[in-house]
Amino acid sequence: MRIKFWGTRGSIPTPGRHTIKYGGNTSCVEVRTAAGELIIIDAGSGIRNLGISLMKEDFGKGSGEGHILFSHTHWDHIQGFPFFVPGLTPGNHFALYGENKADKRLEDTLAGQMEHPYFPIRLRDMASEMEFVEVKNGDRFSIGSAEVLARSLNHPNGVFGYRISADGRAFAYASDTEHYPDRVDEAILEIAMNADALAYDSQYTPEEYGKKVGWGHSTAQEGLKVAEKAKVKRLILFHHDPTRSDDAIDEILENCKKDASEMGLNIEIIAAYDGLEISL
Amino acid sequence: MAMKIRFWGTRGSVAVPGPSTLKYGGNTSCVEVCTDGGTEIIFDAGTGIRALGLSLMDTPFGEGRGEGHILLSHTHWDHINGFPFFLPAFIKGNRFTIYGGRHSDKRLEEILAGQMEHSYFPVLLEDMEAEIKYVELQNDQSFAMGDAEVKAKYLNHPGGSFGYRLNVGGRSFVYATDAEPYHRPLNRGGVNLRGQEQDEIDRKVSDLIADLEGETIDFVRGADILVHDCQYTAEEYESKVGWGHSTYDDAIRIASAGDAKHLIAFHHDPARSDEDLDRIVEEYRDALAGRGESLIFSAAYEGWEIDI
Repeated sequence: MRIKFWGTRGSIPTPGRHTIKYGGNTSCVEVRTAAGELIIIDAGSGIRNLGISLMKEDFGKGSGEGHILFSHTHWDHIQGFPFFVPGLTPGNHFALYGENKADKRLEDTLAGQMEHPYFPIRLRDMASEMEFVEVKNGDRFSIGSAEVLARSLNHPNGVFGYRISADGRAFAYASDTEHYPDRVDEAILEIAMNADALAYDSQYTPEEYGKKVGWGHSTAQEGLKVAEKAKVKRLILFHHDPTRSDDAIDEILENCKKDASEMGLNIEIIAAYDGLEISL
Repeated sequence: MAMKIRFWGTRGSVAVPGPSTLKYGGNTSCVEVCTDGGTEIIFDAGTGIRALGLSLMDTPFGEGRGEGHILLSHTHWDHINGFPFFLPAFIKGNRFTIYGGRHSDKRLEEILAGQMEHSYFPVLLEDMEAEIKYVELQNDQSFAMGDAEVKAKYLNHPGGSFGYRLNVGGRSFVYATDAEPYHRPLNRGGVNLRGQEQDEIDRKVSDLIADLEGETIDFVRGADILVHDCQYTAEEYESKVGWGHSTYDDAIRIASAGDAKHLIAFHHDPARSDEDLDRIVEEYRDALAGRGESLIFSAAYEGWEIDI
């Protein structure tokens, strides 16, 4: 399968000269299977550019079909959806997967960001056909040739990590998750075990994390622990803090590589950037 | 000098990071005005307010001794979604007054709290530790903030929007974004009226439009700086009628009619690249010069500071 990162930033988009290399759009990752299924993970501001690109395909003619997996509904994972042009185009079909809360279904939460007085166009006015699919912790389901596993990870108000297996390869997405002090999260191990690539929440440096305990994010170094234990082939540092400049991300990547070699861990480590493409 | 103006976010709709927006900036609406008398005024809280907040942390706001006024044009996302990332609002001791309109069934405070509910954001509005007061405005309301006199005026935008005029020490600054002109008679075609009836309706509609536009022109009259919605080109506008935004030509018409001195195009469409804006600025400057108009025309860019 092929993975393309359209948004790699956490919290809030960060335009400007200091983020040109890694990008400033919030979370959005495109996964394509060899059979052609389109699976999108999260709809941060990066999904706007993905949408523009999809309009050159069947989606521009209103005959596209896509699947969107939501890790959770914090702003940086949904804020691009109202600007996702294929979603506004009649004839396209989308299945949207995520958690229903006791008081709010996924559909209600997405509709909530498009209510007056916050946005002029309502979710129901998006002209594509949308089908909402409830996901629960531990669910396994098929999307065409792909198998998906969803596991609850550690984040305020909840989050899903996803494992997507297709074409004999596996991609794990574990963004917005905080590590435990005494153990590697079993749920992350389950989605990441033997994965060809793991996108991991690397929002904080170990020093910063001390002041952010309980905020629901992790570090590149904790990503290494997961990668080692789960025998992951590639670790992709993801969900960069909005205060992080390109230089600072370069430094985090270098430190992470050093730490990996000290652990004797021989894996590929990449800092995700808007536009990064990987074939698994 | 009466006030210093600084642009922190100039974009409309959604933040657009990337190489094509480096010059004019990709952050959504936020403009800061500091008056001579030390009054700190912020127009809108789009993503640009995050960097403004970081910069204020080097001032008394960093020590919890700051006082600021935040004037919201309205509460569409691109005008409020930076607020949860505005650090000075998390510092105990700072005081903010937020001005804006209420919604038919929601108070201004409830609207801002709504974006910080747990399904959307981990920190609640009530957990921001600064003291925050809310002032719900009426159309044409005038009030004072320190040495600044302010007037709020309702603009033509879905759900409504406020424009603001600041007068400080004989200088004037107008912030009028998310505003579509009242210039589209919608009763043309399809209705079989006798000629006389049609003429009568046309006259009434055009009188009403002239009155409404006249109010806007009075509002911007003689402004030293007019920051105005310029989201669309004339061609783009044809498919965006009723979306609540202006074209460059609309803004220039209002500015010229009101004898504004300097029009600054604002709320750039997310699809607009730096190259597009460079070209547009040049074209309109040439056209204004060709007509012998003294109006100065510019496009707002992030980081721009102007003293008036």
